[in-house]
Amino acid sequence: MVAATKFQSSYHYGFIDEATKKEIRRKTLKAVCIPGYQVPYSSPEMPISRGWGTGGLHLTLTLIGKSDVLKIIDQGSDASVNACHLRRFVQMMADCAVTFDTAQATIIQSRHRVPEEILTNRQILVLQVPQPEVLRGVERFEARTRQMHGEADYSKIWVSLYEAYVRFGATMRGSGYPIKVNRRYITTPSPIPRWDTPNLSMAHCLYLFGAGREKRIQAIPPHTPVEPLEFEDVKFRVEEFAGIRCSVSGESRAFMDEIFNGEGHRRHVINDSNFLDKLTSGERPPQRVFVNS
Amino acid sequence: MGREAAYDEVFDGQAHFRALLDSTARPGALNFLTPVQIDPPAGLNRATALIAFALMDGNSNFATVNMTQSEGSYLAANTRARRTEIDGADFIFASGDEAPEFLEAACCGTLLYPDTAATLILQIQDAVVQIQDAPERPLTGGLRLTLKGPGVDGISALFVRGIRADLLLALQARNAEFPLGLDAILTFVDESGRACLAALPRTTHVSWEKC
Repeated sequence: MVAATKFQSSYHYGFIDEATKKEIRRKTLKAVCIPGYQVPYSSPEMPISRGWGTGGLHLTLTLIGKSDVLKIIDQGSDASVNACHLRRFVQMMADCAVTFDTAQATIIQSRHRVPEEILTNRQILVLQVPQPEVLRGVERFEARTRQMHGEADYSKIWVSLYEAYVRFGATMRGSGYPIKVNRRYITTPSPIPRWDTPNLSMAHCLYLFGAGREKRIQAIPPHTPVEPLEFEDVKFRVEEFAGIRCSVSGESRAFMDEIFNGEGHRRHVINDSNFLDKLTSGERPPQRVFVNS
Repeated sequence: MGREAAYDEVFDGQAHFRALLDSTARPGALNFLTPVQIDPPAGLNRATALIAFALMDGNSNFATVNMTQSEGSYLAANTRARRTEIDGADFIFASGDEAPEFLEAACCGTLLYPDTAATLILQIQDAVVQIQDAPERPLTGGLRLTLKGPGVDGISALFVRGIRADLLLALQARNAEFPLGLDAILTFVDESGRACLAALPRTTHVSWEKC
């Protein structure tokens, strides 16, 4: 009997078959070559539903090798149910190391947050994206939005920001604030808070965005200018946590969760769980903090 | 032309893709491909063959420029990709010494789908990254490329031998209308036998001088 240990697992390495991996890899490279452009891709079946992080999983599973160290976070936390299950799944499929430590990871898959700690040039951040089309709110047809991107015709998104401002006195985008990548494509950074948006610009790491349900991959390469849309007189602003301190670490200068206890009291906790762990153990990891003008 | 038995589609393909991704994300950065015992025909270097193995399959087309039948058959046999004319090719294999006319026919994508543009794999003689404005020239008789754009921290310099200046000029002309353009990968095997690559995506502004 031939001992073919390589084929003894009942699943393919990285779950996705090699032909599909190659297709996703070709599309990923093209996404990096055209920063901010949404590349259509196959979005194969995963053991979770489309729209629950499959785009991130596709990217992670085509990137990952046995020597990688993986970190998966969901809303800043390593411990949430989604993050735990996705981490265990990728580890089973790819036989890789996993970590909670942001600095140790080579691939970080995330939903709704960019880690507070500055990422290095050895790291890749994979973001799960629910709706990659920033123009969908102002134009319902894909053929039209594609043409608008092709012609750099972004008047409708500017008008929508202006209308929000004149009606409500603010641009009214809590998360997924529209950005212009490399002075060409306007896109959405996935529903990360405005707090994280400036960190996409001129970063050391590569950002990859996977939208599984919408079947799109996009990328922001390192050292690429990313500008949040703003007017000359109405500037982009990040969330302000004025006078607020984390109730666990006592620190400020990080994105905070607001926690209500049900009796009218509330407290704030730093959202990034690994960052909070490091703060409570006395470290202060390097951070890029945007200051409102 | 036979199939390469030593190449591992799963793990070699993954490692080589990561090298490709890193080079593409950081134009001008040299990456080494993990060694694999393969024996491509004379017109292909090992880095070129390994990149073809990592990216091409039955759903992709390729064209070779001024290569013999054996190079095309070798790539087709090992990747199951289809050989085609330059204008329909997803991957175009050429030498950096090639006259630039073939770029005229290469597909630059469309405004609606700029990702359908071709990827050029250009075989060069060798390349060295200039480290931190070092005064001495690491190699002579080639071109010193100055790179700017997404992925480059300020400016980076790459010394390259085995690429024609008029080919770079033609590539620049085809990349003038972003998002349309051609993405180039430079490949060579260095003196210690390592398969190396660097990438020049369409977003990279390249200027050059003789060195």
